[in-house]
Amino acid sequence: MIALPPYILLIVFGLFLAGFLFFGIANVVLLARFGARNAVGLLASFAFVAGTALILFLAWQSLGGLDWMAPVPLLSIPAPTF
Amino acid sequence: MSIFQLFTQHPGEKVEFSLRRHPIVFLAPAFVFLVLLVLPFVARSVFLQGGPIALANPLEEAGLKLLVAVYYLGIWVFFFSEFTDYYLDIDIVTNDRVIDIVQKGLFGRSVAELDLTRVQDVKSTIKGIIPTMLDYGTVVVETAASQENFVFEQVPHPHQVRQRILEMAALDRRKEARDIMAAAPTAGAAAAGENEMKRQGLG
Repeated sequence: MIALPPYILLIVFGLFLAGFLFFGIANVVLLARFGARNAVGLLASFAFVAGTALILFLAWQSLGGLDWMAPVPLLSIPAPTF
Repeated sequence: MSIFQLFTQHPGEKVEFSLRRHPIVFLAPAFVFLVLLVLPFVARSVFLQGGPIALANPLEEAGLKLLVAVYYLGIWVFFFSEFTDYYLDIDIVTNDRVIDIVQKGLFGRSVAELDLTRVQDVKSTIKGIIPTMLDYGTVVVETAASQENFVFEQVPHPHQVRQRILEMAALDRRKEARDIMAAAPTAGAAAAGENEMKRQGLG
């Protein structure tokens, strides 16, 4: 039987978040550096950060009651019966 | 940062106007974003009739919820990148030159300049029903054959823009001819400047 704890998924999610942060920060820096340190640029950056925070909050809330450490059987081969 | 800090201004140079693509152009990625935003809800109502998703174990449940988060974060950053790309494309016309700044994705940016005295012709085109209704289109600034033309795509009021650029170019040529005449060391050179003005119909 193969058993995995759900926190393994958090590692994969963390890798995705690293890429997401890289592109998100690159966007905000570009806007600030090349001509959008004005109301539109600030509003867009704020909306991006707020939207990101909302998505992460909703994900965190929906995953609240989960036991991340408990191993979950993935493949269970039934014992042979004679 | 203001528009004036995007390039180094020459002494006496004044920004006449700046252009971005018409905001309606941004509706296409906004529409795609909205469709992608509601797609999971539509899929849920179609396949599950709005009911809860029954999963076999906590690993699948966590996996699905994280996948949804990844999906939404992905389309969110895609949408923001589209906005950045749209907003950082800008064309600036000063009383001395035309500057075309193009953002190419997140990690590419090109800046091209053209002196107004080198403008040979300017063409403006509006093509299609929506561009005609909303008055936006393409402006092509033609230069000497050896140089690449400047193309301002999907800018608002292209015919007025063409008119303004032609006026600015005529003014700049007149100013340059006067400068040549003022700096002319001999009467012959001054006459050459005068001839140049006459030739260009600026006398």
